[in-house]
Amino acid sequence: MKKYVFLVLVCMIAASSCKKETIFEIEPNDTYTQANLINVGKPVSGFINTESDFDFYMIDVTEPVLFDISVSAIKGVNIAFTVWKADDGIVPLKYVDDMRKSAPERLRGFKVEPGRYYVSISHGDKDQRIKNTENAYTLLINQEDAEGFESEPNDTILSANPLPIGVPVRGYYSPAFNKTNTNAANPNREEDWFTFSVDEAPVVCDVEVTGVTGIEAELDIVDAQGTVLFSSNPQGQGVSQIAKGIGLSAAGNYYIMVAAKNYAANNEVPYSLIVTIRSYDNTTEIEPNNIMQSATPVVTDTIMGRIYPDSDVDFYNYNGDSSENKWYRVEVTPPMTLDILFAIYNTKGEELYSVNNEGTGQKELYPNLFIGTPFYVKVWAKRGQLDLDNHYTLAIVPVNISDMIDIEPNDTKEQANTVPGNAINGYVSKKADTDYFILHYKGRQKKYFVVTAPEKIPVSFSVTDSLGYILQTVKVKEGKSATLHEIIDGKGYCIVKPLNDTYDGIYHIEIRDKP
Amino acid sequence: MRKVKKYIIVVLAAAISCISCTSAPKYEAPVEPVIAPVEVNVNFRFIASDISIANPDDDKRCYYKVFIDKIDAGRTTIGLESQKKYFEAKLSPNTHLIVIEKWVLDEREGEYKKVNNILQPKPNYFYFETKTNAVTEVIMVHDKKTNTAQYSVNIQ
Repeated sequence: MKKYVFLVLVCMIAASSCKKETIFEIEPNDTYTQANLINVGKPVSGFINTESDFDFYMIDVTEPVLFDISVSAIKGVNIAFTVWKADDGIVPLKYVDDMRKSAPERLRGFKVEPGRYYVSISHGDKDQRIKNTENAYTLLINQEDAEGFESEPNDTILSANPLPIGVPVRGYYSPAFNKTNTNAANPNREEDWFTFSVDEAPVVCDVEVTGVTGIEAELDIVDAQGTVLFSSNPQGQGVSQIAKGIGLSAAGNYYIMVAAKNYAANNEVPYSLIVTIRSYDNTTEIEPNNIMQSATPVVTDTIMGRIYPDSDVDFYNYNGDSSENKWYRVEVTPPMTLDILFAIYNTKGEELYSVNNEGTGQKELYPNLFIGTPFYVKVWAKRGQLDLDNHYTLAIVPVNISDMIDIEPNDTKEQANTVPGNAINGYVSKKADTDYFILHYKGRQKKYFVVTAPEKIPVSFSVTDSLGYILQTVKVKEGKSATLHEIIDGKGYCIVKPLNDTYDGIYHIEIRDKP
Repeated sequence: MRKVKKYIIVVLAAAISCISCTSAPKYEAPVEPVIAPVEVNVNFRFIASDISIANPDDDKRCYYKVFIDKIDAGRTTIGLESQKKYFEAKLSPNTHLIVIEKWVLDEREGEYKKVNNILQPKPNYFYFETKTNAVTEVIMVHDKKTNTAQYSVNIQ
């Protein structure tokens, strides 16, 4: 019996000796000169003894590593900590405070170089300062390999980390808040800034930030003048943010900002950021081209673009070889995923024509654009549609059709095109396209109208009185001709309407004096 | 003295007439004046108008389609039913048949529609003679109330 009691006692003693030894702070440690020396991987506990208590700890770093600094929660206390570096005194590097009571604080991915660092623990700023001498906090600093990671603090454009082209760099969405960020648009947002250099311009760059669970990433690309070249749209949590084909028109430094929306943090999974650069060959859009002023010039017959992110709008600028009004055929061929739309703008920024005839995956076109150069084409997709992987193609081709007088918009009597001679060549240029033409003659004249419909489009042809009221209408089958004669009392209108939903067809009308 | 009085009366009368002249309503051309025929080398003229129109709302824009010798020859000018509408042509010297068809503007539809047969002028035809060196003028007056047409011929 005695033997058993002895064995149990031995076991209990052994078990108690297995418990981790808790190291407590040694007060006073209220200033950095009184800081307690701690080691990586060794937790240390302490108390917020007074409302204004500061507990300083110091740690010596011998090689570049990433610190993972965590402070456990204290019930009822909004705890916070600051990381400092010894540098002829101490310099604050990072203040970590999630502004919540009874919540732990953590900073992961904090890159440190050889030297002495300090961590001060205190009450956070948000709530009323209270002490807690019953519940201790525990400070633990772990380290990991710093290779390929961001180097905090990189919270501003001035402290941006150099980003090598084509080499991924990782970073954490940690901590949740940055109290020193006083930017009115995004106050207290924890931002990671990176910079890369472009030696020869123009080039286009692609930037990708991988998705992280629970994080809705935000990505900005900024030039050296502070102009935002790209600002991401919300893509949802855990989804990558990608900026594709961003045009960099001048050599110099560019900046990338990565942040989490709504002060979210993830201390477990890092994001990966990569920037690649390629030369510009005039065959793709240059983002940002979301406004007329930054429109991508079209110098070849076709140019490709992407609708990405959601609500992306692409402007193109066509200069042509002369400013005279000419006929152009404008086509946008989308990938199968997009219902594409486009519009034509003049140099004053006025929308002249908007084209939306077809559905998802189908080509949109404007076969008879009559305009002087330069003009602008705006391309976008229906709300909520985007496609990063597949591009659309915009084609602008000058066309030459004799006697073409169908200048859109001529959908009403007031917009009617004047008929200068004895022939009208017109286009059914969109679904239900109605074309008005005005006739002017001296006195009463009997005219014979020989109407030939487009190959696949039956049309109706009407002649009106001088006020635009229809006198006669004739229906012409697709590809066929029909003749109508009518007396024009000095002035009259011709109206051509398609009789099915087909478009992109040329009709001809010959106006004769005799049958 | 009597002579002076006479002069004063004349001057006053002239002044009054001047004032009445300036205050007379200014003539304004109709929105679409009926276009007078311009062809000069014609020997036939048809003039059509309607009477017994109850109120201006019933005075519609219209024209008459003209068939001569059963061939579609064209139409008259367009005007209100109460207005004269003209058709002119050069015809061979002979007896000819004119048949007319009334078309009225349907403003809601924005087009002219043939008037129902019941409301077409009756008779809707007339025989007339034409000569080489004279203009035959056929005047048709349609009574809208009774739908009867009166034809008269005038050779100039």
